Amino acid sequence: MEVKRIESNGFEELWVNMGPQHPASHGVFRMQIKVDGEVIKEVIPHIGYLHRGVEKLGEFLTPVQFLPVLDRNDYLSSVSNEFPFALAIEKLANISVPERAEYLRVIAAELMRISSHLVFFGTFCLDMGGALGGGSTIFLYAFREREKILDILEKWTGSRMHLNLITFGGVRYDIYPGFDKDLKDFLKDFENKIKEYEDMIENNPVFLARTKKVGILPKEIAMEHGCSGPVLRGSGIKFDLRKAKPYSVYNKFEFEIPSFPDGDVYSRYKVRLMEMKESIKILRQAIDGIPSGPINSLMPLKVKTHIKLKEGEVYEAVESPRGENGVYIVSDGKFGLYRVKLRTPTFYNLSVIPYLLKGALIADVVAILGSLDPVFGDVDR
Amino acid sequence: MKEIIEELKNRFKIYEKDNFLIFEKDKLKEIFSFLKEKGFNFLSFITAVHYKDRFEIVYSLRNINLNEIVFLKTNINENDEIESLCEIYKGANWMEREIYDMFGIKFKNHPDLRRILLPDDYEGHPLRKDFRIDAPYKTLR
Repeated sequence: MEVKRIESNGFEELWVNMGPQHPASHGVFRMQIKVDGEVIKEVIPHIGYLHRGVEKLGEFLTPVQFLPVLDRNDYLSSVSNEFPFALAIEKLANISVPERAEYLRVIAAELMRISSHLVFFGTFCLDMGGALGGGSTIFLYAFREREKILDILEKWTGSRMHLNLITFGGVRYDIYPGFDKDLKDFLKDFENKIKEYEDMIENNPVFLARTKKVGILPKEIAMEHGCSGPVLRGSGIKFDLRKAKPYSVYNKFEFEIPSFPDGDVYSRYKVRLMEMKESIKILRQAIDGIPSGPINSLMPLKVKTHIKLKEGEVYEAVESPRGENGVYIVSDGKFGLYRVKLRTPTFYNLSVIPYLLKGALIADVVAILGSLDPVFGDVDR
Repeated sequence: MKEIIEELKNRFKIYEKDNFLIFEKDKLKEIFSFLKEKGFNFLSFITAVHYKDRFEIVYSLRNINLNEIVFLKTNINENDEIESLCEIYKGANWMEREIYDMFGIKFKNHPDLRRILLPDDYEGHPLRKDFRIDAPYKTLR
């Protein structure tokens, strides 16, 4: 039987649809990709599949009711969503925070940072495919460590991911007896594990070939798009709100800001790996230096449901695992909030996708997208 | 930093109110080109606030070297258009699309002004104060 073949001279341009359901997009994200052979000519990203109208919801809920909703935005690091909102409300309502509560906030935020970066690390290496010990090896290793963090957090707060830990004026739960031992054991163990990961990954020629000099993001473009966090630091700019504008008690700890000048996928990966090491440093200093005292300046158990806010506008931002997580609140001095703007980092980080993918190979789409570490609850709100 | 703000105030008739620099909307391009020259090249966010009869558009810029942040504001009436910032800051694209999506504010000379978070055939702009959240849900597609 004769096989008919389609013959054409050269390649034709072709629109390929990636998503909304795609295992490597870490959420619901659709890209229309115009390819010419293997090379990407144009990308039209479509976001909004996970839009829940959180900003509008904020206008109808009281601040106390709104706080747990924010947990669901960047669901991999819930504490860094509550953090800026609590800071902003505390500024508007003149609530002070006891020092012990500040330490507990920092501990929770840094634990969440490690856990979030582990998810990045695991899924990123999973995307990089079979070269890494069959693909899912590193993924399972990373999730094994993350499980230990989530167990500690569960023992502390009762929740594993949506902690709902931070309240106005402090935190909701004090640490349990034996927390410091659990944490130190984990950190000691985890420090060795990071070395293990580095040995596994960074000598792997396939991994290096797929990440080095791929998806280069110049710093000018990164800054114009408002990219922050590891994406910006991977482009050679040492900007971290924990150092640039220290909130809470971050000015009491000694830590470095890792940054790499290349701006490629590898730099962004490496920044996150180094950040986990810095988080270990912060956690060690925090657990050793934690003072005793109250954990909430308002009533510890009965938190008032209605907090009187003064009229005004306030912007507070923290460094979440993904970058500058800010909250801009307009208060008219009446009940509730007049307007809440959530400056969620991955919306801005993801907006460089059309720039990054243009001219890249279609095999690199997953690597580049993974290196931006998007969380679509955070992008779409 | 103080010098930059003084120069802004003198050159562009900007006045300061509660840490926000308030400017006239027709001077937008000059002001932002000036600020970008002075190193404010990190566009942190753009957003809008709907008041009864006007919109307030809020811009936030960072200068990484000086470690400073500025907030700029301008007022526009309803149904007014405002110049897009995309020529100066490429990243303004998505931020302005989000504002168009949520408030219905149109940006002049924007390369690709479509809805971004909501479906293309959605009716209404949810973050306007006159948007009714209890309106019956219209099935899409």
